[in-house]
Amino acid sequence: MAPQVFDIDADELGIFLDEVNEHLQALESGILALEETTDPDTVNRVFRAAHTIKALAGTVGHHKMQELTHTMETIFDAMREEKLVSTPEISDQLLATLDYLQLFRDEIANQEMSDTDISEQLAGLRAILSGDSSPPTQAAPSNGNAHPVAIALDDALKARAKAMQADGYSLFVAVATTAPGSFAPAARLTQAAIAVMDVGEVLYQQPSMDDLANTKHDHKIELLVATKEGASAIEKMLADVMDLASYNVAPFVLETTTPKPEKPALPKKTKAKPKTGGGHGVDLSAEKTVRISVERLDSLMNLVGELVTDRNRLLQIESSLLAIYGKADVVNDLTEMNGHLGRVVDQLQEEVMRARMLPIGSTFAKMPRLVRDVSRAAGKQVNLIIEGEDTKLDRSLIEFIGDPLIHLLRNAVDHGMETPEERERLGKNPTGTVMLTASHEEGHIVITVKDDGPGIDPEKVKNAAVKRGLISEDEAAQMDDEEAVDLIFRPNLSTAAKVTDISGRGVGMDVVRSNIERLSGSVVVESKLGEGTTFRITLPLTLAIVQTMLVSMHNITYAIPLSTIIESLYLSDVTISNVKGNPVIHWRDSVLPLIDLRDFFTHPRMNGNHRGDNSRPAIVTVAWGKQRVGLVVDKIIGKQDIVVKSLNPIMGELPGISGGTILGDGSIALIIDIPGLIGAAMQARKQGVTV
Amino acid sequence: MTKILVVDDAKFMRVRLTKLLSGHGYEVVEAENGEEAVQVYKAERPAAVLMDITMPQKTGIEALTEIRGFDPQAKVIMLTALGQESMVVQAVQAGARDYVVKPFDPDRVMLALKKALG
Repeated sequence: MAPQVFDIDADELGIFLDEVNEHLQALESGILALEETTDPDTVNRVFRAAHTIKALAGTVGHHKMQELTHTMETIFDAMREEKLVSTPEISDQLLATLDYLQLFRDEIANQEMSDTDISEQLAGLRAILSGDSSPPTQAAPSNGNAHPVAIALDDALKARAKAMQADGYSLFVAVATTAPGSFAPAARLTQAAIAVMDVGEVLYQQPSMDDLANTKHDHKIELLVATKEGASAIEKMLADVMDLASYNVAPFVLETTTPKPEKPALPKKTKAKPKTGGGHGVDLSAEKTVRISVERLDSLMNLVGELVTDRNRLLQIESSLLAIYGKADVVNDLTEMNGHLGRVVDQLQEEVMRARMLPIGSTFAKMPRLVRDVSRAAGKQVNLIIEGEDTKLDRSLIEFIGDPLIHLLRNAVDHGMETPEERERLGKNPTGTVMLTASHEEGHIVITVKDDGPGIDPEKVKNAAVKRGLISEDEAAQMDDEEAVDLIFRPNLSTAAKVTDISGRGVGMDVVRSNIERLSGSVVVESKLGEGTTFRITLPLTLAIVQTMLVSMHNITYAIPLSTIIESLYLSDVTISNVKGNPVIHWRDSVLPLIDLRDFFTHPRMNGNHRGDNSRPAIVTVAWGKQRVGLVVDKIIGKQDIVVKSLNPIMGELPGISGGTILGDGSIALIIDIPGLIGAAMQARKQGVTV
Repeated sequence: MTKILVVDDAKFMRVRLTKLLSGHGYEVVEAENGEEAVQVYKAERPAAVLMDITMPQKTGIEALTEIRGFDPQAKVIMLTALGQESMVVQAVQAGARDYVVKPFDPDRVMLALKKALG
């Protein structure tokens, strides 16, 4: 193994990164919040976050990270003491610093140190501080040979010292100094005083406990101690205090002192007044949690998947036995057991699924910064409202949903929002609103990005699409507004020229859609000219186990994700007609294009249209986004939960197939990729191929 | 085995300290904030406590004061970061035996601990 750049082991890295990320996130949201509030809780939160990152960075030995966070901490401290109020410029500096911290975090993760120069960044941060009256906390300069060991006692104290001497106490002057450069010298000096109290009574000390509490000292403490033990006992106590540069204990002779009215203080034990660090009132009956690695959760999910397969297999065995033995006792027992097993496996599956779920909040939390930065850069005023951040979804989805959301939000602000002046002219609130929401809906996760911008002009989109040769003038003429707006998801609508003139929504929207579809999700857009645009993303709860409808074609089984199915009907119940040579049915007041899976997957047509003896051809109506089609299949087998297995990459990209699964009888079913299939079939139709 | 309570809101710090302490043959119990530290202290009665100062919910100093309130003999060593001098003085005045600055040198931690345990 290569030598470690940073002092961190592989097994610690996960925890370290989790922690750093959590605090970076807190910093980011806190810095943004500070633009609008001076709430002490918020200041405390960012202070703590910077403080913790500083300690973490220092522990693994990333000194640049440590230095930056230290300076940030000093800034937050100044805010805490109300010597400094955040401004957008200060936020800019702090946020830019955050970018460095993220870079450094990655360096630690990769055990690689770059030669990134932070001097400019540091100078920027320090400029914030110097603009304010409070210099960073610095220990008072050391004053090497200041006080001679002459202690001035007032009369009362002198009398007391005398009395103690008479009682058999010896008086000593103990002087201790702290090592230069040692940390928190005031605390060491305090420790020295307290240590001495263990062997005697401290009659007088300079600086006093109060002075020490305010870190007022010259790196030195003088103590007048009355003890029944000798000097060596005091020395022994002082020897135990770390970081003392020197200590000296000498007998004290009362008569040699000249009384002066100089602040002589009885050693009073200052009661510490604990300062509240903020953040009270949090419920401590928090649930007991353990951290578990993602790999372990994944393997748990895989095992549950195996169990689901086995359960399906058992059900098959049960029906075979039923066919052979009828309702014999042993078969009934098996039925009963299968029923129970089925319920347990269902519950187990749900529990594991739940364990894999994370609130989407962690992804949403990045968005305020994004919206802020983009709107500042674009000269827009945008208020981002986030709702439903507690909505939970599978962690594999969380990982991949961030990018499409960033894209949508960036577009919403950058291109999809009028300038404040323009908005005012239109009679709108000069500050635009973008809403980002997440919620659960019927076994799906729905995420929406909604703005109150100008909306998408269908005519402009059509024109752009025609100009780019994506659609013909004829097609454009036939399109309704909804279809026209949907064109923004077409590839190549925007990649070349800037199309901000169509409200800019074309920018990479095809990538957004394909990313979401890769997650078995869909995205649709609704837009009202002048009122705004809403993107609605629908995602499955999990990707690992899918509810499907099994259908067959020539004895090959296919699985259609239930989430895409609207209904099924028998072919015998409908009349097929033709539109431009393509089969359609009229169904529920609309024309439903049919795709015969035999044609699509090019099964040889056996005896023309004959579908085999036990087939009962059916149409499964599926929807993707706004597109609906009917899939013609030989037979509907039934509903089944299946475990998604990816296909060997050696097979390459199979159009219309997203993966495979093993069925209860050990045979294999192919999972139909509905968006892929619809896309490919519609494309082929355009080119005049009948499918 | 001598039981030590480690209190820090950063899990990474707890892991580090636990590694260090168990490497020296101590048994370690953990708490992640001041409030929990008080509870764990009551339940486990550790021989010594290594406690962060800056923590949410209850600071190390508050927890220290509370612990010393019901166990004046409690041996608490504060873990602190640079730039918290007055806090450290407060802690020492409130009865902390010692303090170690973060990022800490393992030898310093062990030294402070041995001294506190006498």
